[in-house]
Amino acid sequence: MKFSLNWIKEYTKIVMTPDELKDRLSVSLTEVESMENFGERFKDIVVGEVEEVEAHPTVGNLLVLKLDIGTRHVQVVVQRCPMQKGDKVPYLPPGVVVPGEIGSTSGGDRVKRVDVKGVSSDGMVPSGRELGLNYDHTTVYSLDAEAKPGSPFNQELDITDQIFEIKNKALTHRSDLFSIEGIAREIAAIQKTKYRPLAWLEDWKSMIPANIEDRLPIRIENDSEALCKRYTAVVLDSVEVGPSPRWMQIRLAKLGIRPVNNVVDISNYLMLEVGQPNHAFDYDKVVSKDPQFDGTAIIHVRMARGGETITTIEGALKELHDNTVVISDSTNPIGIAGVMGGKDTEISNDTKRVIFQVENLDQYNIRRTSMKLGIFTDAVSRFSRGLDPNRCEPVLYQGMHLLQEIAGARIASKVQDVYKDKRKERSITFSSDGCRARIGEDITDDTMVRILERLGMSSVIDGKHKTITARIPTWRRDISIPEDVDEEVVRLFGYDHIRPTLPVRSISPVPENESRSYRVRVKEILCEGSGNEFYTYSFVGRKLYEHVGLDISAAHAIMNPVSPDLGYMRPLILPSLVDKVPQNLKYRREFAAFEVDMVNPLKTDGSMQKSLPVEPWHVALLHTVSFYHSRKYLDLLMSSLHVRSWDIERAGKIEPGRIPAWVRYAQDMFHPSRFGYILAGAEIIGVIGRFADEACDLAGLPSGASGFEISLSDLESLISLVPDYKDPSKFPAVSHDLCFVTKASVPYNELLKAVWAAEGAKDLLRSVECLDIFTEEQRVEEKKTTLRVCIQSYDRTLEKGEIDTLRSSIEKSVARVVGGHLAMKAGE
Amino acid sequence: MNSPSRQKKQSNSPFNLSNVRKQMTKDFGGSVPESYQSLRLKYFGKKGIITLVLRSIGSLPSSRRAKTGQEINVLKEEVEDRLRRLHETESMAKKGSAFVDAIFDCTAPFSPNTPNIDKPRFVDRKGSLHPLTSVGEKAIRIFESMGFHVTESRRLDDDYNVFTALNFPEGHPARDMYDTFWTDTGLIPITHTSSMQNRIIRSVEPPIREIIVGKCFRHEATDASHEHTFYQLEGVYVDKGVTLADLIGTLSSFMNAFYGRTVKYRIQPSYFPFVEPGLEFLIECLVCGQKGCPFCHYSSWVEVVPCGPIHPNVFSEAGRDPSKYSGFAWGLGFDRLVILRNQISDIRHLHGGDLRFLEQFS
Repeated sequence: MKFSLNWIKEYTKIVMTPDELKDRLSVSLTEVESMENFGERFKDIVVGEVEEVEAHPTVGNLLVLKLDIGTRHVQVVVQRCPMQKGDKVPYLPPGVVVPGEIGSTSGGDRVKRVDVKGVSSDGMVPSGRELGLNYDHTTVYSLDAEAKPGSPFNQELDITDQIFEIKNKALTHRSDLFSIEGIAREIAAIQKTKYRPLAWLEDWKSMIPANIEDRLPIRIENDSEALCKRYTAVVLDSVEVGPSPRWMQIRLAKLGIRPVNNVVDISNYLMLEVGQPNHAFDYDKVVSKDPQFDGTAIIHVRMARGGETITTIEGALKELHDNTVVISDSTNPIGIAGVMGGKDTEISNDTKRVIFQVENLDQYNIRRTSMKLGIFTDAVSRFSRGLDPNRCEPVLYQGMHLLQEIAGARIASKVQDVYKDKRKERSITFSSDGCRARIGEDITDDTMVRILERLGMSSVIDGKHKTITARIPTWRRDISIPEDVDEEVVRLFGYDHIRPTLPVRSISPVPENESRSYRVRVKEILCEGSGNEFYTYSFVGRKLYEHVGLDISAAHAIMNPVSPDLGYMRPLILPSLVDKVPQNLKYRREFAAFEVDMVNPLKTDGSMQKSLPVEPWHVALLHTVSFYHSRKYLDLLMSSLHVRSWDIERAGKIEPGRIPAWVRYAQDMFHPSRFGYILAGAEIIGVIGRFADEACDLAGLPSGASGFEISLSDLESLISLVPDYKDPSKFPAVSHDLCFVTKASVPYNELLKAVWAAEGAKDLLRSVECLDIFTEEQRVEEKKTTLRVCIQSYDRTLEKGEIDTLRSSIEKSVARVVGGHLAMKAGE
Repeated sequence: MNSPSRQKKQSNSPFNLSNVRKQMTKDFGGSVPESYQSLRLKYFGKKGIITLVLRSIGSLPSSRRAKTGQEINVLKEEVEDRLRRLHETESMAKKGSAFVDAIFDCTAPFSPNTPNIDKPRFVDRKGSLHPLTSVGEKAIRIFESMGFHVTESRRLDDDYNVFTALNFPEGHPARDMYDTFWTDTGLIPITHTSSMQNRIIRSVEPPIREIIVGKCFRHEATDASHEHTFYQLEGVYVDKGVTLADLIGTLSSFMNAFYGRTVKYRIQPSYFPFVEPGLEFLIECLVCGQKGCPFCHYSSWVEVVPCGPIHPNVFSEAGRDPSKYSGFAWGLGFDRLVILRNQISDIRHLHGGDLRFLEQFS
């Protein structure tokens, strides 16, 4: 929302500097996004007086002007247009930047001294469009006859001004601030200066004679009273369409609105001034197209019928829906209420008679209509904030007044006003103590009243009941409860005057959120193992999943993704890490990337809780080198989390029914024979594997790339952040390296289980470590696994015999369980 | 044997990394590459090429040491990678891939016949926590010390929790301020962590002192200062007699603790339907010291915490009596704190997955 400080000055005196005002607006109303010294862009332009007008010697459509610019005389070539000696024009010397069209912020080209087909042109005499003051490009911009040659151009017109732009976002509830009038009231309240309301808003009826001849009668039928609370209209004739006066054009131009003609400009001007959109239809076009016209123009406010269409002023054909409010003649729509008028009934240069109308519309309905049709206009942004129906009539009258004054119009019909459910002024009574208690600052009743009055809410103190009653004007619908009054009071009292305090509380300790602490611990552990924590988007794309061999179709799909690569909520983390590998390979061949996040299981897999899908926490780690490198991180994680019984198990060993759906889904990323399930207790909580060859090719992974993904939510009940402590044994420990020969197909974990299952192992075996696994090239069917076992008792020094017994019971157990035997020689 | 010329040649050649690289490309790239064993020896043996290069780092002038050291490391990792691949190809060729699959044992700590030097180990660099984790944890610790309990938000939530329960009537234009994503399942990737407010006010018996950490999403085109994915740290404080001045005091104390000094703040009016009044808590721009810079858009202030006293309708909707309780809530954008703390010029780094970015936070 933009406003001009000069325009505000019609309502109140400006006592602050622009910078002060910017600062105070920011802390009392809303952020000022920008502030422009509008006159700056014209600062090098001076007034020139035309001394001679000559045709260009060779080019027919050019004129050569000789100008007096006060200090000297210059010659400028311009496009042919009506010009005569004595005309006053703006002159841009060479080197000056052309201000540029309305709305431009950076300006146009720099003026150059040029030779135009043999005639030198020493500067520029611009058109209104080049100055950004109107939209005319057919003539040069001319000034009043009184302008003095050589004087600064920006002192000749109302263009030395400050244009502020304030943030709309914070004003969603304040439709009254989408107007100069409303902002002026705030500025007066902020400065504590006197506010002069618009006279016509106080008394509009007296502007128009009461007895108007109903020459061109008009009738209004409102079938949508729920959505169009008020509809007012009038017919005017003898309209002379032409450019609007310069002061009006300049006011519009400064706020970025392009002047069109006097009728349209008056409509826009009123909207800028008081925030009430309005519209003028060409009366003759309306009635000539109305198949049932019988001398009385019909305006029918109704819901669109299915299949109806309209071509808007912008020339777009729009299909209307049955929840769109339209303005129609007896039969066909002529405008989308509050959104945009129709092309067929648009004001043109030939328009002689107009239907001028002002309506009030439901803010929610108009927002839906605008979104559905994809039309976002200044009118929509105002209507959708909820306007005051009581404003319709005064705006209609002021419009009639301006059309008479500026466009020579005459009122040709009685004013029609359909307004059943009148909005009445309310008042709100609140406890001033309550207000102070909520704010926590000592603001006196008198201060409160003064603030409210400045904002247009006359207020009375009831000393007996310690309350204040404030009259809430009908244009402040946002104030309905005492808390709403708090805001008015406190923002004008000044947030910077509130002394901060701290809430008082008991010193009882805060219970720890253990599952969160443990997730943080997971990150720390992987980081301690030199992993790099990544954060990646929760959004993923079909292509990425296809590259790793997964189909994303069943994931929660985003209906309006930022890009197709971000079209689904991710069910897994690991593919997102895959995505980040290639870019890093340039400087790192070896790294472990990990991430912890909440994921969204596939629609087909997820369980629901209170009608929302359950979102488990996962951790995923990717290592670029090999399966066993990823596994090393898994070992680190599980041992650091003190997960007591966990294991990796081969695919064939697990009944498919035990595998959670998400794991079954995820495992397809991996090479079919190089992955394993991660078990904790009896449950499968994740999967680890080397990526499939195709995945490596498609996703650009190194051939050894591998990774794991675990459901931390499933693991949670099995972890402990406190180790299972036992006092170290006081008795000596012995290490033995045992080399077992087994079939190559015997998995390591079964050998290990066999060792631990040996009689006496629970008591005396402290640890088992794998030193080597070896397969001879000639005997690939068998392998040798060297284990270092540590034997120690907690209560005695072991005799040699006891150690030998344990060794042989281990040997027996291995023979029995996996069919292995000790190699002839084991390093000891 | 030890003629001076030879010695010179030996000690000089490792410095020329591009020569080593050429040699490597030749050794590994030929149609009949040398065997794994011989190449391992050639590069990593006692007098191996890489071994010597590594040893030579110490003799480099200190000005060049860091840069060259880094280059050497990259080269070393590359050679190791090529060796591993060669090893795998060799065993495949010898025994057939079916065999390799058969002896692959996911339950083992390493693959058969793995030389010690190739046994899996941790990456020999320091790991790193993402700055969003470390900064988030720092902020959480401060709030915990102030008596707040911490929870986390959902990722997908319903319209009720994201909007309706927070006093956004259906069709309310304030909904337009939130560039909301929608899923085909009718859910919303949360636009703010306030989506947890209703649940918390409903389920926790006052006094409520809760902070909620969450990943949020808004439909926004990404550029150096905009992201569709961002992080919030929501605060909810509910008790009897809680004031707006308490809100200001709480946030200001947090900022002072977070930055370890007194941080200037300022309050601006804003609008969020679930608080009344709606406020924006700004802090001085710590990048430029309020001189004006791109981080603060030359305004000297940085918006970090939208906040305000909880709206009575939010209390009522959550089944708490607004005449009995009052409270405040905020939604601190903690990626903003990360950006400011480290003066990160492009917010896209946070999700970029670039190790050169991430490793700096080790």
